[in-house]
Amino acid sequence: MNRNRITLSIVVILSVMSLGLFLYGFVIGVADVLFPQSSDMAKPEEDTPPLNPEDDKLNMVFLGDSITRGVGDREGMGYVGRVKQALEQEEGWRLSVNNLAVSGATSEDLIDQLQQDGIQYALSRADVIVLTIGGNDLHPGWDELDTIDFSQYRGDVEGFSENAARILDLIRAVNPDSPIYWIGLYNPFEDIPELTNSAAIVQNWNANLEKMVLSHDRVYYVPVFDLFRGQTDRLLYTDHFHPSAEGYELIATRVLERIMIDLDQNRREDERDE
Amino acid sequence: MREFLRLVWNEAEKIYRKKRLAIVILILLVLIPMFVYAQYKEVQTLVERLGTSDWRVALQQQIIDTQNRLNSSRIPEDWRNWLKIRMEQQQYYLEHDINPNAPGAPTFVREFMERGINLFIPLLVMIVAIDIVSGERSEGTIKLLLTRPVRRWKILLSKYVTMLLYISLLILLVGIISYLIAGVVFGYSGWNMPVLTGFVVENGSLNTEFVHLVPQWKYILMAFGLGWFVSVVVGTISFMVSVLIRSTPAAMGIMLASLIAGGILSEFATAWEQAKYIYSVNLDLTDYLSGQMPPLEGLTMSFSLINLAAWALASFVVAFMVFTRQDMLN
Amino acid sequence: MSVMSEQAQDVVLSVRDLTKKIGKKTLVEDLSFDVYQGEVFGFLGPNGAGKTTTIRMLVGLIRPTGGTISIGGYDVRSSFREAMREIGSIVENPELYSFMTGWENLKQFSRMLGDVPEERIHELVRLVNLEKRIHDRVKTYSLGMKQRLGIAQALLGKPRLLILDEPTNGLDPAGIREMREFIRNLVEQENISVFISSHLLSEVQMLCDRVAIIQHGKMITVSTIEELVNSAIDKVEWTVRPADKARRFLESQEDIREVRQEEEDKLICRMPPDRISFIVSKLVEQDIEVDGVRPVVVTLEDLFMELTGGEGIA
Repeated sequence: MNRNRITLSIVVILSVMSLGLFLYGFVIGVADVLFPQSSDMAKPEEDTPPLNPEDDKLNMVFLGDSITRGVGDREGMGYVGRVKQALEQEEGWRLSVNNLAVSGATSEDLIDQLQQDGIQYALSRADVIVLTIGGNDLHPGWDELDTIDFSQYRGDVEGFSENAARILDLIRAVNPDSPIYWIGLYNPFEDIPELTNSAAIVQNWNANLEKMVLSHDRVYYVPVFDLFRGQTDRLLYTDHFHPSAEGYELIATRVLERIMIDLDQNRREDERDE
Repeated sequence: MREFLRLVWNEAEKIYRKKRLAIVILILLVLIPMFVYAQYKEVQTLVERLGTSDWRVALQQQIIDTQNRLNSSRIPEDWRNWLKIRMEQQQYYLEHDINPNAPGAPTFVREFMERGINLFIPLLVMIVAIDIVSGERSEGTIKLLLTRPVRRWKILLSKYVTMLLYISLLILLVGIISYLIAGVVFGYSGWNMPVLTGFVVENGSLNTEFVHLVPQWKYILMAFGLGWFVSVVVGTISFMVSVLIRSTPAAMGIMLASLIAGGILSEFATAWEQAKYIYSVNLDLTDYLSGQMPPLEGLTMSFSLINLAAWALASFVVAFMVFTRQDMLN
Repeated sequence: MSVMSEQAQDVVLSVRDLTKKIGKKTLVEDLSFDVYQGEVFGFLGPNGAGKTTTIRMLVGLIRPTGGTISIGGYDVRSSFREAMREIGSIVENPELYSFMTGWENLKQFSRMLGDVPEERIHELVRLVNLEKRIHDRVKTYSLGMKQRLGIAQALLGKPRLLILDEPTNGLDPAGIREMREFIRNLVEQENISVFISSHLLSEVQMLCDRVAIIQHGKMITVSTIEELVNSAIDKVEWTVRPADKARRFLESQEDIREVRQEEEDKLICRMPPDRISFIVSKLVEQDIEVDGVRPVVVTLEDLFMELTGGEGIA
C-alpha cells in the first residue's frame, strides 16, 4: 500500500513536469511555424564526417533517360539490373548501384541535373559511369510525327554534340578518371513503312556521337544499333519504342562485355602492382 | 485549493490503480520494437538496393525515383503535388548537406511522433481518457462520488486536470520508451544533429525563404509539444463523450470512428473543402513543422490550431453543462 | 433559543411536496414527511413505487421537479455542501472501487470530506468488523462485506442521518440478522437517525420506529409501527378436520374475519396472532383435529390492499 503511494507520487510529479515541458514545447513549436525567422542558415557546428567511400565496392552510377530507367521491361530490371546481377553473381563484384536516370530526359535535362549537388556527389565517388541520352533529343514526340518530313529530317545533331561535350565536361569536373560508357541509340522505327529513312537518321546520329566521344579520354561508345536491327518486333516493348525484356538483356550483355574489358585490365594491373 | 488537490490525487489514484498506465506502457513495449524493426528493415533494404549506406546517394536516388514517378501521367494531381513538395524539400536538404533521416534513436523518436500524431497517440490517449466518467457510471460508483459535500463541477474539473496530467505523462513515456528501444538498434546519439524547419507550402509549391536550422532536440521538443496539444484536444473530446455516453465500449466506438474518419477524409475528400472543419482532419500538426503538404486545401497551422482549440473548448463546455445538470437515474 | 428553533433542530430531514416528473411521467408526487433525530425511519413501498427516485433526490443525484428537501436545516439544492455533510448514504448496491482495497476506498472518501483523521477510519473499520480484510481488494469481498464497507464509508463524516436503500437486499438470513443488529447498535451508540427503504414489511417492522408507505409515487400513510401493525391483522392458516365444523366455529368468533376454505382441509382467516393458542384449545375441545396452524406473514401488497380500499371487501 505504501509502495503504491510512493509510485503514485512519482507519477504525479512526473506528470506535472511533463505537462510544463510539453506546454513549453507547444508554444515554441507554434511560434516557430507561425512566426518563422528569416533564414540564417548557420552551417551545422558538428559537420557530419564524410562517410568513408566504400573502397571495397565498385560504385556504379547510371545516368540518362527511360532506357537506363528500364521502361518497358516487364521484369522491372532494365539493363541496369541485369548488369548488376551479372557482375555480382557471375563476376563476384560487390556493387553500389545508383540509377539516376529520369525517364523522358533530354540532353538539356541531363545538363541541368548534372549541376545538382547530390548528383555531383554521387558522380564524384563513382568508379564506373554509364549513360544513355539523346533518344528524346532525336525522336520527336508521337504527336509531331505527322508534321515532319522524314526525307529531310536529321535531328539537331550539332546541338546534341555540343550538349554531349558539355555533359562530359560536367562529369569530368567532378570525376576526372573513372571510365564513362555512353550507350548509343537503336532504331525503333524500322518496321514502320512511312519511316524508311529512320535507320539512316539514327546511324548518322550515332556516328556523330561516337566521333565526339573518341576525343575524350576514358570515355567509351557502346553501340546497340546492330543488336536491334531486323529484330525490333521481338526486342521492342508493346509501345514500339522502348526495349522489351529481351532487348534489355542484349543491351546488358553488350555493356557488360565493354565494362569487363576495363575491369579485367584493372585487376591485372592491381595484381602486377602487388 | 487544498480540497481540489486532494480531489486530483483521488482521481490520479483511481487511474493508477486501474492500471491504465501499465496498459499503455505494455502497448508501447510491444509495438515500438515492431516499428523499430520495420524502420531498420526499410534502411536495410535501401542499403541493399543501392549497395551503399551513404545517405546522400540514397537521398539522391529517392529524388530521382520521385522524379520518374512524377513523369508518369497516371498519378492524381494532389499526390503529384505532395510528391513534388517532398522532392523539393529533399533537394534542399541535399544542397545543404543535412541528412533528414540520420540514423539514431532521436531521429526515430522524432519520426515516431510525426507518424503517430494523427492516430496512434490519440488512441493511447483514448485508453486513458475514455472511461474517466463513463466508468464511474457503469460501475455505479458515481453515486458515491456525487453524494459527497463537493460540488459537481469541482469533481469534474479534478477529473479533467488529472486527465491532462496523465496525457502529459503518456507523451513523456512515448518519448522515453521509443528512445530507449530505438537506441538498441540505431544508437543513442544524435540530439544535436541539425534539422531543417520553416518550409512553407504555398499554392502547391515550396517556399524555402524561412527555412532554418534547429538542433534535433529542439525539434523533438516542438514536435512533442504539438503532439501533446493534439492529445489534449482528443482527450477533451473523449472526456465529453465519456460524460455523454454511459457505456464505455460505445464511447470508445464513437471516438475510434471519428478518429479514423479523419484519416479517410484526408485521403478521399480533397474535393470536399468543408471536411477541414472536422477535428480529426487537423491532427497532423507536425506536418506544418516539417513542411509537408497539408492533406486538404485550406489547412494551415493557424486554421488547425483554432479549429482544434474550438473543438476542445466546445467539448469542455458541453461536458460541464451536461454533467452539472444531469440526473443520475441509474 | 426559542421553542421554534428547538423543534427545528429535532428534525433531521424534512421533505415538503417533493415531486419528480420526467417527460409526462410522474415518478414521485407531493411527498412530505419528517425524520427526527435518533429514530429509525422506514420507507416502504413495492418495487417501482418511487423509493429509489426519492432517495436519489435526497442525496442530490436527481434534481426534484418541485418541492424542497432540507437536511439538518440546509436545503439540498441551495446549500448542497452543508446538506451533504449531514448525511451518509448507500444508494442501492454498495458499489465501491473494486480495483482498490477497502482501506484505499475509505481514504478516497475521507479526502473528499476534508481530512478525516486516520483514527476515525480505524474506528469505523473496527465498528464494521473488517479489520482482517481491509487491505484486500474490494473485488474479493462478499456482498455482506461490501455492505459493511459501504456503511463505514457512509459514517466517515459523522453524519446525523444515515440513508440506506434496501440494506438487506441480497443478503442471506444470517447476514440480514447481522445487519439488523448492527443498525440498532448504531442508533444506540451514535444517536444517529437512519432512513431505510425496503419493500419488506417484516424488515421494517423489526427495525423502525416510524414508517412511510408509498405507492405509485404517492404517500399513502406515515405512522408509527404500532399503529401500522394494529391496522394490519395477520392471516392464519389452519389445517383442520373436519373443515366444515371448524369453519363454523371460527366464523362464530368475534375477532376472526374473512374465513375462507382454501383446500379440502385448509382454512384461512384473519385474526390477532395472540389469540391462536386460545382458539386451538377450543377447537380441540370440540373434537376437531388440528393438524397445523401457521401464521401467514402479511406482505406489503396485502397491506396495501388493506390501506387502499381492500378493507371494504370484508
